[in-house]
Order: sequence, then structure tokens, then C-alpha cells
Amino acid sequence: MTPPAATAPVTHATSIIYLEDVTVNYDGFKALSRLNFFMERRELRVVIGPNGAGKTTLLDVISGRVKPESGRVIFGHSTDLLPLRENQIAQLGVGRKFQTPSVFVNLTVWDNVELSLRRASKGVFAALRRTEAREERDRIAQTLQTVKLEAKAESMAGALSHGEKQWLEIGMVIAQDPELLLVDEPVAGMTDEETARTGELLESIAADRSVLVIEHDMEFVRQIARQVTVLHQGTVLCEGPVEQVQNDPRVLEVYLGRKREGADAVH
Amino acid sequence: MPKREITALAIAGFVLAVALPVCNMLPAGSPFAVSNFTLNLFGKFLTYAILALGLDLLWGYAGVLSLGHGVFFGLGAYAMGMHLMLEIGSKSVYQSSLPDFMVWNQVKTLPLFWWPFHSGAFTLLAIVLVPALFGFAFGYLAFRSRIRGVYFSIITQALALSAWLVFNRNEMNLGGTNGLADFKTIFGFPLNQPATQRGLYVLTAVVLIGAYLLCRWITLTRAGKVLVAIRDSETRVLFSGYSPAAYKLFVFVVSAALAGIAGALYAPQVGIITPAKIGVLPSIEMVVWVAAGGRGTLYGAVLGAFGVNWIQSWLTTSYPDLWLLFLGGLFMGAVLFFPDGIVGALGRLGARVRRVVSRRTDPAVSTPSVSLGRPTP
Repeated sequence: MTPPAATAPVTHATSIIYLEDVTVNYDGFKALSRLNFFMERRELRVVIGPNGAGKTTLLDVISGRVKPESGRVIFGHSTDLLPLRENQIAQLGVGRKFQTPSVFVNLTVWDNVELSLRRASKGVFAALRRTEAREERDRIAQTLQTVKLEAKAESMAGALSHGEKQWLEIGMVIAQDPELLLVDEPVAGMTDEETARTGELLESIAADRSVLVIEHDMEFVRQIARQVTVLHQGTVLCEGPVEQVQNDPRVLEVYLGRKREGADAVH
Repeated sequence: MPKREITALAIAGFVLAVALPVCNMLPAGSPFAVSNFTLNLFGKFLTYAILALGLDLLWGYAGVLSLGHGVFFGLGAYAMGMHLMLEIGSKSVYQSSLPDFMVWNQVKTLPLFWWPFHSGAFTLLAIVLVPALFGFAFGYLAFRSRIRGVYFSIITQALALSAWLVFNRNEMNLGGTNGLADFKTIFGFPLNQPATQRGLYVLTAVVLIGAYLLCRWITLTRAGKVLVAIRDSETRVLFSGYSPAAYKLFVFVVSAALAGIAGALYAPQVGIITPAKIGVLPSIEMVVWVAAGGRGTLYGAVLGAFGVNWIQSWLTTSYPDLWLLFLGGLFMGAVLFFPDGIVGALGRLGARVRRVVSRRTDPAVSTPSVSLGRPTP
């Protein structure tokens, strides 16, 4: 983590990610519309919102997959993310976990984590040199322990169950040692038990990193969330602690299309 | 590298690079004699195997299917062929210092781009660098623009077609449809001498072993794992901080260079190189070798190149009408029944035999039926 420079153009000296007036236009459909969003360091933030609200697009913009039409995206103190490619943003310290598990099925669980480890260079010629240091093996073993897959280290990742694949991918993202973790619907398709474990996992990760989670499952949101942001039509509808957001009449309206009825709509 | 593979490689290397040429030197009546014709045929197969290795690295590991590798093969073969044409000098049919086809086409002076090929050293460099640089330029544009999957395969096929059209034109001064032929000597050694051909054969076998070791080394490094990872989930690779484009470009260039070397060894052994070797059809045949042998193993590619071409040379002499049917059937069979090729099918058969044997020796133990062999790419 670089210490903040003296000449900071950004107003929030403690922010990890800062989006200003970001607009994403898909052939006339504004997935994000002058969105302003910012997160503190070591914050665990949950973003909710109805379908098409722009939740995944928000992650796409931060991780470099989608380039906005206008606006600014600042990582850490003053790093402009807009001119960078996805792999460069990942190397800066932004990890992303996808909604559907995406792991390397023809490699072992161990190799999956090994490839993900943070390194100074991930170029071709660096990868051709042999550098399996003890320190590296320790980090891989530790990561596998965190996601409770140490017993399956030598299995092919393709042989894992759905939940295990999700954890492996979380482990791979942890191995990248990111400052900011983007997590898209981590518990979709998980059993209750797996969901509970995933929640604990995310909370332990958030102890020393910033985590941004997109989620639909309100029970899960209540389990992990401190601060919740509600997106609607590509812009922030409201933001605050989970109890306050749940009872906000505007939130009830966008979720149900009516006012003040069904107070447990987002429960 | 596992011990078994080292042993197999040592045996194969000994048979190909030492035993066969020695048998070739035996008198014709000897029971172990290998004829000049057979050795020459094997030499041709070995050049195909060198190309197949690169193609397997690209397709079997990184999952990038190229339908245009005939072009790189052709670039290497033509580079070598141009030098051989110039070596003929004025001993040609028209006794001009120009290659015969230029006299025929009424070209008066040697085109500028032919000049450097007078030099043997330049030719040896060009054999590797021309296909590598061309592969780099093509791959850079394609991978940078994130052209992948079937779209990439289609543009490589277009590349093969356009290269074929270009090489067919007489204005290119590369011999047009007839290509380059009637080579007399290679670096001073007469090509019609069995000793020269034997030397070329041994050189090809040694290059094949070297190419195998190079490819195996790449697959054993972390870069090799990244290639498999790209095949599995390119997006995950990208978001893990790697540039898939850079890795694909690297392996594309390596395979193009290997194809070029293969072509350069092919031209003097077969004695002719024409545009027919670089078009769409030969490029697809190359893919069939790898598919039939088994992708993502390297030795599968070598076996495939050898096996398919051996069958081809037998079928085209004994049953010439059947060859194309067989080739089509082979490709469909490989896709439908043996997605992991000969190597995978043999592996599964071996596992089944072992299972039956172990059940018979110990009937109390019920062996669970597990899927065996490496996962298919």
C-alpha cells in the first residue's frame, strides 16, 4: 500500500475506490447514469438493487471490463483506472470474484491458487523462469486453509462441488492479495450451511481489506452488511446501515413498485 | 518430466535418430535393412511431427485452434527452397544463373528479395524468423483485438486461403503453381546421394527431439499452466493479472517458428514445395493429425502426425480413392468417439484392462468405476 501523496486530487484521503459522475451507455441504455460512489478502506459494503439497476456494471467499471462514456474512477489515493486494462487493474490490487464460479478446471486446486498469487510480474518470460520458493508454498497452503480446501489441494478443480468451486475462486482472489475485493452474488446456488460459511469467510477477509459485495439474498445481506448501497436505474438511490435502508420508503417502492405496503418486502 | 516419459523419449530417440539410419546403411539384402525410400518417407513424417508439436502447444494447451499453420510451414519451406534454387546456379536446364521458372517467365534479373537467400546463414535465420515475425504480426493484431474461439480459427483459415492465392501467382516470383523444385545440392552436398538424405533425416530426428523437449519444458513451467488456464477460463486469467493475449501470442509465435523449421526440413527431403502445401486443406490435415493423436499431451501430436501420414501413404498407393473418405471419417471419429485421440483411447483401454485384471485377482474388492485419464480439453 503506497502512502498517500501530498498533492491529492481526491477529496477523500481514506477512500479505496471513488467513482465520480460515471455514465455507462449500452447503445442508448444507461446502465450507469452519473453514478457517484465511494468506499472507505477496510469497509465491507453490500450493493443491492433490482435487476438492471447497474450492480454488475459497477463491478465491470471498477475492474476495467467496461469503459464508461464519462466520469472518473480513482483507485486508492490517486490512481486513475480508466486507461488501464483488466489485468493491469488486477495487478494494482483489485480482485474480482465472478457470479458463476470461474476456476481452471483442468488444473489442480493447488495450481489454481499458485497461478493467482500476487507477483511482481505476471509476464510470459517471468512465468518461464522457475521460482517456486518456500515462502510461495506457504502462502498457497495458508490460502487453502482459509477456504478449507487443503485436503483437496491435489484434486482437479473440475472435480469440486459448486460450493467448493466458489470457495476456491474466493481463495484465488485472496491469493492475489488485493486491497479491494469485488464479489458478485457469492451465495447464489449455495446451501444454507455453505451460505453461512461464505458469510464468515467474507467477514474475515474484510478484517484487513476492503470488500464490495453484490447480493440479492436479503438474509445474507443482514448477516454480513454494515453499510448498504441501493442502486436503481444506474444511480444511487440511498445508502446507510442495513436496518435504515430496509425501511426506507424509496427502497420499498423500487423493489415492489408501491409505497408503504409490505414492510418486509426486502426482508 | 516423469521418469516414464524420459525412458520413452530415450527409446524413441534412439530408434529414430540412431537405429533407423544405421539400418539404412546395411546392404539391401540384410533382414534389418531400411530402404532409402522408407527412410526418406519417415524423414517427411518427422517434419510433420515437429509442426504438430507446435500446433498441440497452441491448440491442446492454450485452446487456440489455428487452421492456417500450412502458411508458416510454407514460409519455412520456401525460405529453404529459395536458397536451394540459388545453389543450383547455372547447372539448371536453361543454364542461366536465374532459377528456371524465372527464365520461363522472362524475368531478366533476380528480384531483390531473393538476393539475401544466396547466404546460407541468412537462410537459416530466415527459416525461423520469417514465420516467427509473420506469426507475431498476425497474432498481435488478432489477440490484441480479442479475437478468439471460432472467429480466430476462421481468420486463420482466411489467412491460409489468401497465402495460397498469393503464392500461386507468377508475379510473386516464387514459381507460381509449380513452386520450387529440382534442387541439386544443399550447402554443397548433393541431394540425390543417400548419405545426404540420411544426414537430413538424422538432423530432422534430432530437431524433433529438441522441439519436444522445448515444448515439454514450456508446459512444465508456470507459463504452461497459464496456457491451460487460458483454455479453461480466459476471463479468470485476465482478472488474475495475466494478459492472455501475451501468452497466446508467445505460444503462437513458438508454433509458427516450429512450423517454419519443419517446412525447411521438408523441402530438401521431398525435393519440392508448392502452394498446394500451404492452403486450407493441408492446414486442416495438420489439425487432424493432432486431433487423431490426442490433444494436450505432445506425444499424441507426434504419434498422430506419424500415424495418419503413414496410413495416408499406404492408402494413397493401395486404395487411392479411399484416402479422402478415410481422412473425413478419421476427423469425425476423433470428434465423436475419441475426443482425446489415440493416446486417450489407449489410456482408457489400458485402465479398463487393469480394472478387469484386478477384479479377477481379488474378487472381494469391488472397484468403483471412476472416470480415468486426463480430463479432455
